Amino acid sequence: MSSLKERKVAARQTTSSRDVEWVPSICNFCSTVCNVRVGVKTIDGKKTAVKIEGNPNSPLNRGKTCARGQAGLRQTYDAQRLTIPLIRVSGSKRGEWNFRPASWEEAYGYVMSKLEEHQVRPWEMSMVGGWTSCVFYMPLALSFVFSTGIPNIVASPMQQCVAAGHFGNDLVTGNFNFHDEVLADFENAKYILLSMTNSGVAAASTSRLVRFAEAKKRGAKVVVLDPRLSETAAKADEWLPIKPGTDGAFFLALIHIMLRKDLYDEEFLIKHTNMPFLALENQGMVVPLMESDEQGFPTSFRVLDRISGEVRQLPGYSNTNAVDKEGKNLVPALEVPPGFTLDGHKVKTIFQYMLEQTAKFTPAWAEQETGLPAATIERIALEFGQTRPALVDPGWHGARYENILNTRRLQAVLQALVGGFDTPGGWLMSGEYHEKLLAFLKAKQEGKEVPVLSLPGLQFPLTAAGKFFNPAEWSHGHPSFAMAKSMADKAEGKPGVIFPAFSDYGLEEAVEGKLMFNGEPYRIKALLMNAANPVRHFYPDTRWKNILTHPNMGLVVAIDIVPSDTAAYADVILPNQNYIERDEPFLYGAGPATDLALTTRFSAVEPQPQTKGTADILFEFAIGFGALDKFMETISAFSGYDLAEIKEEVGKATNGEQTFTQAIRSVSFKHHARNLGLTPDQLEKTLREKGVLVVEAKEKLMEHAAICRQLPVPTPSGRIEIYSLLLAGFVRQEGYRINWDPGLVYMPPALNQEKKPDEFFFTYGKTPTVSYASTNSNNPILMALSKAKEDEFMGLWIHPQRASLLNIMTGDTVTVENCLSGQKVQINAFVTEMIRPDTVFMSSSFGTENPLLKYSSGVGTALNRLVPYQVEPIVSAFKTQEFTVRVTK
Amino acid sequence: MSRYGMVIDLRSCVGCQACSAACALENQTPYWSDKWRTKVMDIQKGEYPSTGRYFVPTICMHCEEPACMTVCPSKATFKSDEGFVLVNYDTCLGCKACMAACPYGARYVYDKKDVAQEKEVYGEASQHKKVHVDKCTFCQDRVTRGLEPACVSTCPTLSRQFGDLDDPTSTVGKAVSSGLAKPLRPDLGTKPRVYYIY
Ligand code: SF4
Ligand code: SF4
Ligand code: SF4
Repeated sequence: MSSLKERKVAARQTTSSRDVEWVPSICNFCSTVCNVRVGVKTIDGKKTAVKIEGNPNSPLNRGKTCARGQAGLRQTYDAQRLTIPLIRVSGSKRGEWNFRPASWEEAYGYVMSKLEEHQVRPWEMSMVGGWTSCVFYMPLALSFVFSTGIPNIVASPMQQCVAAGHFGNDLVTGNFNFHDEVLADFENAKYILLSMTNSGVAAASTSRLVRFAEAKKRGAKVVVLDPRLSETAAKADEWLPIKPGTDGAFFLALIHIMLRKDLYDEEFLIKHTNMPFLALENQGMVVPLMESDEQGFPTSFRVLDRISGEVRQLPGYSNTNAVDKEGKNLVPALEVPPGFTLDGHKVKTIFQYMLEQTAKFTPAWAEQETGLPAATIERIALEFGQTRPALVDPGWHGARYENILNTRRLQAVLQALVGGFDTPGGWLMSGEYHEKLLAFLKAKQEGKEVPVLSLPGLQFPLTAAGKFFNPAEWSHGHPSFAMAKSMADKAEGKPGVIFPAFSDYGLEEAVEGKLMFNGEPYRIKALLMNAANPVRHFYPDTRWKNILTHPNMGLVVAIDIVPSDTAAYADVILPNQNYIERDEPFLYGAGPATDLALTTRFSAVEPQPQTKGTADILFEFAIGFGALDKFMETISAFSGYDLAEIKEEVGKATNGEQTFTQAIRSVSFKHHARNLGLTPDQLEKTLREKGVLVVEAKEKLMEHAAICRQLPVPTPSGRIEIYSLLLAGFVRQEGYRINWDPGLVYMPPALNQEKKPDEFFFTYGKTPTVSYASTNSNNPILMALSKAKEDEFMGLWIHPQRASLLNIMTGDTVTVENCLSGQKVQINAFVTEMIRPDTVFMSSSFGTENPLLKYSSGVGTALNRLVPYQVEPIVSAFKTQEFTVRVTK
Repeated sequence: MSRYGMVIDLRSCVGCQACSAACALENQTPYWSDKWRTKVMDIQKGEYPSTGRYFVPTICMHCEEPACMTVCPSKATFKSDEGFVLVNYDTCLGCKACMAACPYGARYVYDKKDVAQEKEVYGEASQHKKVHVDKCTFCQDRVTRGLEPACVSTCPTLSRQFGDLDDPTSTVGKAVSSGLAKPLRPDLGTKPRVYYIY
């Protein structure tokens, strides 16, 4: 028997992180974009990634990661990785995995020959991007399409999250970001209200979760609206199982009470919102008294000064209502006296109109809509109105119902009532956003142009997407197919879609040859997809399968890392470096972090030899299209990078001295180093050491760049717009429709209320172990964790009362039929008290099909097999829950 | 010498399983066989609409009076200098007496299949080269390097805290001495060094 000491030495177990070298990176497992560091060491003679940790220097995720962030490193070593270009074996059908390996030259040559064979003109192509493309390659993707004349990008976060949700908040705040928008300052809030969000907090967005947990520890009151007891709802002090789709009614009742009981931040409403603006009623519409310039930008508003009793003119674009156009101080009145007239018109304030509009939204009314007791709604309104700081979470994923934009907008209105923007416990804008806003305001003053990609908030989508919508922006005179479809709809008297930014609206028709523009078919014949998986993440799967397999579709190219369900439908697959392997072509802001910071990825391990970075692939295509010069010019124009530097570095890449990724990376480093007064080497060294460079701390930024208090926001008026001028513009442009009512309205979900015993409302949500809209489900550790919770994560949640009526038990396979579309899926039941009896729930995380995805294929049921193609008319947000389902055993 | 221990705050744990994933990667535990050193129970109680859902991470309690140690015939289970209850992989017979004795279900067998699979996944860097009974080590290798255990270091809600229970200024010390954090089943007399806030 050995001595105790020997036994102890023998037992000393080394762990993976011992003796590693840490390389800074950014997690790619969801759009929270946490700062991480990758531990690498040499194993079997090869530099290998063995552990990931949150980067402790990160102002975003504060050294933490979720389960996906931890397990993500296995993606690098997925045996099914795409490691070599693949070309479809001729005669095989899209959807079949039947490819032959090829060289890059051959793959590029194949693409070019197919484009020629099908005579694909620039507008007959579309790019399709996942969130990775938006976050990391927006400057390249936008420059690429504008220099090659391709007016089409379909991007998967838009109709699901960014346009279909955030845009609702943004109408009020003027904010907008690729991906993501504002950090809710949970840790300083005393009262927190969450609606239609599990993904954004507990399931799991680490940057938000670290802050939410602080709130829990400090004892903040948390109220969660959710038809089921999600991970987030489980942490609530009060779980309110609201009837699906009626959250807007709940918020309107809160607003009703808060306006009537003076439970709002009066000073904030007076100074920083358009509540005191004078308006009149014209043909049933509330119209502010304002003047505008030729481009439609407001130049003045009118208010009644509480002190002098005079009507005064306010500037058209400003952060404050406390100074009039002549520079004189004033205190605008929230209400004018009864019978007040101006130039013979009966005039009231927006505030008074909002009082009138909300008169009917009583707690008793809301009880009818939401199924929550009126007394509870009233109590929550009082608690929320009387507690400061009170916070309503802005939400993350959107979609679901036609009313989603309205509901997310009402959440922002509620936040405005408590004055919580850029204040402790409120909605905090990111450091990057503040920087852009400052630069934009400076340029505006100096009469200078701002590069598109530096435009703050809503200015960016309005300008960038506006280019896609305007035929005159393109030498061939074609707008995006989505806008062409919308124009065709309107010609037929249908509503169309006002702002189909990066949307798939009309794509199927364009492929089938049914979309007409200027009397000719507007066809889409080729798709270039980057990190996108539309077969799983758009609705329904059959629509995209039809698009991809249609005989008119001449070419499908997929850039990806793993053999996703969509890659199986490609003709050419171009293997991409994954996030652990690649140096990024750019420096980035640190997501929604409130400090102004810079970050990027450093290659931690050698990329698979035959894989390439997206920048390299796009450059090769630009060269193939004969658009290299234009591409470089557009990158320079959009990003503000020095053109001579781009040309010099790209020149070295065309000579084969470096990759295109390295070329753009060094331009990016030079650009930012110059702005910071550093050398590129110093900047690189700091980032390599720390992963994140904080340029200006939040506290400093708040001293001179807080929105509302110091800076106007990118809404048309610069104020927080409780009455939306942008929506009012839609009314002028399109005629009235409740969807774009600029005031406070309720849109009930279009759901059958009289249901049979086997008919249910339908809801879905996220699990903490798999990100939605990523090709990352094929992870052995995440799958093991998910399978251990098979019932909760992969089952159809159904209440015991209804389950027993239908003779359903946990584990039984049931059929779920969409009562609207007839789509049917099979899924195992999970009988649970954690859901409303009239509602069923399933997660959106599972059900991949490609058998090459060894761990995830065939596990669980895919959401998009049950959801039909239904979109709302502002941004073509998917209406993913606006139906009922029948459940049978 | 520090008396290390862990405090798990059930008020903030959201059941995200980052702890399980971090542990699996740091310690090469056999996730392929659904074996974990730390798991998170998802407990549902009560009737709608008053249903409660509770996330309870489970882990070895690193008892001061470990029931598993006294029954180990080969003395493979022992207490390290730091007071961690550990298993010597070389001398463990795999007899499972400790598994039967542990009241907290903290142990599992790293069996032949697991050893083979581990070799396949991690190559020459594999940590478990032999069949043995496996359990949480309180990440001794990290702690002796001045780091927090992997599960603690990643927990996005800071629900897992690690430190010196005897240090009245440490987070864990405060939580325990104030009575906020309590051990599980103190009646068993094993004197756990893992405490829960609930
Ligand atoms: S929340 Fe998780 S998956 Fe998302 S970026 Fe952070 S660590 Fe990665
Ligand atoms: S990582 Fe933390 S929050 Fe997540 S399950 Fe583990 S203990 Fe709970
Ligand atoms: S302390 Fe270390 S070994 Fe124990 S559960 Fe946590 S990560 Fe695993």
